[in-house]
Amino acid sequence: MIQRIENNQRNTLQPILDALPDNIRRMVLSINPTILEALEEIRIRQNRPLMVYSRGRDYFLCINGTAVPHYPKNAYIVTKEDIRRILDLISNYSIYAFEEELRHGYITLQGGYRVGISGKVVLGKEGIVTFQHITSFNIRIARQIINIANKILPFVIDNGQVLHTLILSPPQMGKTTLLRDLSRQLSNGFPGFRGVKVGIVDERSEIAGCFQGIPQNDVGVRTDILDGCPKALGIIMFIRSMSPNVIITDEIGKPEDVIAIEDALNAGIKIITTAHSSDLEDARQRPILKSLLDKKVFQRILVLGNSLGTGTLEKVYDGINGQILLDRPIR
Amino acid sequence: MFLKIASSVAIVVCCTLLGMHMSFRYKQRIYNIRVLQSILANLETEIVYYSTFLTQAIRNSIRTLNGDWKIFFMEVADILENKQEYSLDDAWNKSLNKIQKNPYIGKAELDIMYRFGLQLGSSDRQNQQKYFEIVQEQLKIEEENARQLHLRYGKMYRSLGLLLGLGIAIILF
Repeated sequence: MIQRIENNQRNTLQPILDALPDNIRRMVLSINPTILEALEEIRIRQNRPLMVYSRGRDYFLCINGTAVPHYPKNAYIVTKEDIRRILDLISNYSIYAFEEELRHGYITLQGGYRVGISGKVVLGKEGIVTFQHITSFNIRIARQIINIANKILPFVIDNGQVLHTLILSPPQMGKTTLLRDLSRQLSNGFPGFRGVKVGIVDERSEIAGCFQGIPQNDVGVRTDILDGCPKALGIIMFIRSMSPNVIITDEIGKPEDVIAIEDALNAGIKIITTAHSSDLEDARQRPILKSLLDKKVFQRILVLGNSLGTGTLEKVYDGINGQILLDRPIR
Repeated sequence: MFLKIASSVAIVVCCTLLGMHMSFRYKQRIYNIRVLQSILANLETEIVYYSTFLTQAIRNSIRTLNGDWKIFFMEVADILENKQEYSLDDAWNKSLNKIQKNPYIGKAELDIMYRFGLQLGSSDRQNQQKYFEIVQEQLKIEEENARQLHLRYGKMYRSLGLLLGLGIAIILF
């Protein structure tokens, strides 16, 4: 049954398979290849059926490894032992190594895959301390999409110079995927553009998907990554010591981020970052973003949406004079 | 006559060696406890300061050391790395069982390590550090005990061996 899955497919899934106990691994491997190919999530909840998401639909896994869309009688029910085993395997028996990640509710696997975690939380003075009981895992199978940033490159680069860019987007619109490919292209360079040094401050290990400091996604040859580092601190560290031409970060929103970004601007470093927001007007409602927009820090403001499907480039503004540079959405 | 002398000498030598062996047990136990303390100190650094994954942390900690506990830790790391269906507890206890008949390891250390295994790796760094402190303290006490025993019985067994040998030889002569 293992031969049914092409080697290639098996290689991409390997870190995930390694994190599953034998019985569940066997079931996942015997899923119908068309479902397995587009696997998006594996949902594991204690005392409830094992489920997988693929192509926007969810399936129950039966004991014999078939995936069916309706709750079957012989669905596999996840046991407490399974949960304990998975936790052992995804953490490499080393919960202490994921202290910070656990606090944010996830663990990054080798290969840049993220496992979301929920259960009973222990609260301390400074927020969440740790989990007392972990009862659900959401193993997300992220796929890097090479060349997805092609459509925005003409707006981000002007005369061979990278521009200060803010990408606005609601959640789940492919903002991080875009950022990842943008980093790869700016760093590697492409016809008509020489690669530049890129620094990624990857606070939540999403852009580069680092495992033990090594990026698991292709983010380019001239790219340095500060993994798990708070954005404001990371930007300043980069300015001081790594001399990047471009700094890429995800989801700005704290007052100290603004100060760090201004520091970078004064040091002549280009900033590319994102924020959760559906449009420019929306962004102006948020005090932190408003202050950045009012200061006309960003030369380009890109808005993502889903009018033509996930990841559509809806609008492009010139951040300095407010001109609209893109007349209709492109995908 | 010659045979008598030869066999008497043989008896004396054997008994002395036996006595030395008994006394060596006490000495070796102290050595093993000290090695264990060093391994755990290294492991603490790996875990608390570098957050190295447990199997790698164990391998790094035992690299420069020797002794019976090194074998134990190697065993644990091997079991965990081979991804057999073992939890850390299983691997830990299985390896402990393997060395529990070792004459150079005291029951007290085995108990301490058994309890330590229940806590290892399962909490955040601050907590792990606390457990390391506790286990080091307990081992210090055991080291002191082992030294006392060595002082008291180590010498005794050595002289006892010689005396016993001489005694038997004289009776048989």
